[in-house]
Amino acid sequence: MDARVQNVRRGESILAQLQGVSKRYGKLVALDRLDLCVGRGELLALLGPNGAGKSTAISLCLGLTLPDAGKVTLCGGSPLDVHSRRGVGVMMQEATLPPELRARELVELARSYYPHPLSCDAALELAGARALASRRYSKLSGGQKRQVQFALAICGRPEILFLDEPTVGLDIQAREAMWRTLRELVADGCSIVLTTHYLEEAERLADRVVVLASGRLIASGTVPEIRSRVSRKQIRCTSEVPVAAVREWPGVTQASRDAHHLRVTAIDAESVVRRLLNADPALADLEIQQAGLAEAFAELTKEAA
Amino acid sequence: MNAVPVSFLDTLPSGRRAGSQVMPRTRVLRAYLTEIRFELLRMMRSPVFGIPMVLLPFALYFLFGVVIAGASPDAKAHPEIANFLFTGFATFAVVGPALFGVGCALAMERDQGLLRLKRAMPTPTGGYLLAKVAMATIFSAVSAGAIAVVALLAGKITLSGAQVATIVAVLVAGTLPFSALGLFIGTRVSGSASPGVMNLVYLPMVYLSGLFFPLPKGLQSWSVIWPTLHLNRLAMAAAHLPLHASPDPRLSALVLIALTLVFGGLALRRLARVG
Repeated sequence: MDARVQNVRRGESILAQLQGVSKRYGKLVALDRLDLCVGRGELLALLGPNGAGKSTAISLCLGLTLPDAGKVTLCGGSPLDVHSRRGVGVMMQEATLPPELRARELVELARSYYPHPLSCDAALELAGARALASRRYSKLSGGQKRQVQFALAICGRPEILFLDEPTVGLDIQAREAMWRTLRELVADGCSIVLTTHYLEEAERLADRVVVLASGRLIASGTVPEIRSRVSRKQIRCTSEVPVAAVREWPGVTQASRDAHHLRVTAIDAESVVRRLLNADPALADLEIQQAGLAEAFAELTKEAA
Repeated sequence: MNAVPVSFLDTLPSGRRAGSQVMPRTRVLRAYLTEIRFELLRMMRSPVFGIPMVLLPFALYFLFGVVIAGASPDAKAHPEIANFLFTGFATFAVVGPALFGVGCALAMERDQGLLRLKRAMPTPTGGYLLAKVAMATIFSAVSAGAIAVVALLAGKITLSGAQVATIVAVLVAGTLPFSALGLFIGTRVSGSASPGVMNLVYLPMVYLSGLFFPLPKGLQSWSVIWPTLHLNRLAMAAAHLPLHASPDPRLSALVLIALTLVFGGLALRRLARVG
């Protein structure tokens, strides 16, 4: 089976696809023969360090940039075609909406672009911005602006949503509420491409994670699959064994001590734990954890650098 | 952010997905009109635009064209001065909204990422630019129309109502080349630089084309390079006003059409390639 098709785990069809896409800006290679696809009803988290090519990949999907080589498909057609873009909702971190307009007016304008949009109230409600309807955009806080931008992104009942750092500036309650809405949208068949620096967000929401580095895809899979790519484990315990000694043990990559605990990162966690127990019979509060997405991400991108 | 009783995709007519829907023409037309409506609303709510672009030409005409020129002893002997001042200030009134309302707004919105967002959204083809040009045309009509009303009531002009209406109509149609010039500049400069650059074009173009006062001979021969002169003379010719030492109205019309095509074309090409 084609590797690209294997990447699509849930949906029966592909909504956005980059096939062998390369893009250069002068001498800088932003994307290097990238294959990427987004299936129907999946939430794909696109991760990577700054300059990895995430923004370029999204720009290509949306038709904002043309590839130097390769093919881009959006909703079954070209991203330059307005018919294809009618299936798309977009939330961009750096876009400033017209400050003179009220939230309801902004949604009304965005609705007019789509054939079968949600009502203004439904879009604002889904985004948690109903109470902001009659407020001018310039008078909103950063988090409230994100909520209105989210309402604009979803008001056209898109098949695929591109969300760039959607929860920056949101308080914890609003963030949890947006996550809930995103899950509901995915359950309803909407595909979502999420770029975020909050790895916790990706860990909580994503069906599939794609990690880019230097314009190449370096890892793709579910969150547990990506985490399992990293063999390190985190060990935490209460013990008097000196940190300096532990650092010298085979398999230990890092060791430190805080006020209460000894913390060890190890490749071969089982033998390190065995040795710890032998060295300190009084050892207590032992916890072993698989590396999180954050550790996996750090390791993967370090390897690629 | 609670669940609302809407199914996101599956309640579409005939169970079809949003992306496969072709938009009916009436909805596309409504999208263009909605874009224009909100562009007008924005500018009406923006004092930075409304006051200098609409009120200033009106106030200047009232001061210089009505109060000062009206009190001059030459006013009765030379009624053509009042006609000249009316057409000059009305020309001045239509150029500002086109250059600043279209050009500066475009430059700032490019900087702020709004244009990029509009390009990613299914904005109807050219809808964003069309709304800007339509807004500038409507503001120009209001601005020139207000000057025309004052001119008819208190400006001591010797023009008929039909002549005044003709002049206003030609001038309002003539905002198009200036909108094209505004677009071109708006695609080339940053938002913060755009008011300065626009003034560098606007002020010489308005003053050195002799719209408000006769120019010294040395400058007069150069006035033909300014498109404002061509628009002004075209409007005067359409209203059958005498033209002294002016370019042929057909040449003026050609200059304005060429300006629209060249600057409009360059701006559209750049927007399509760079955004």
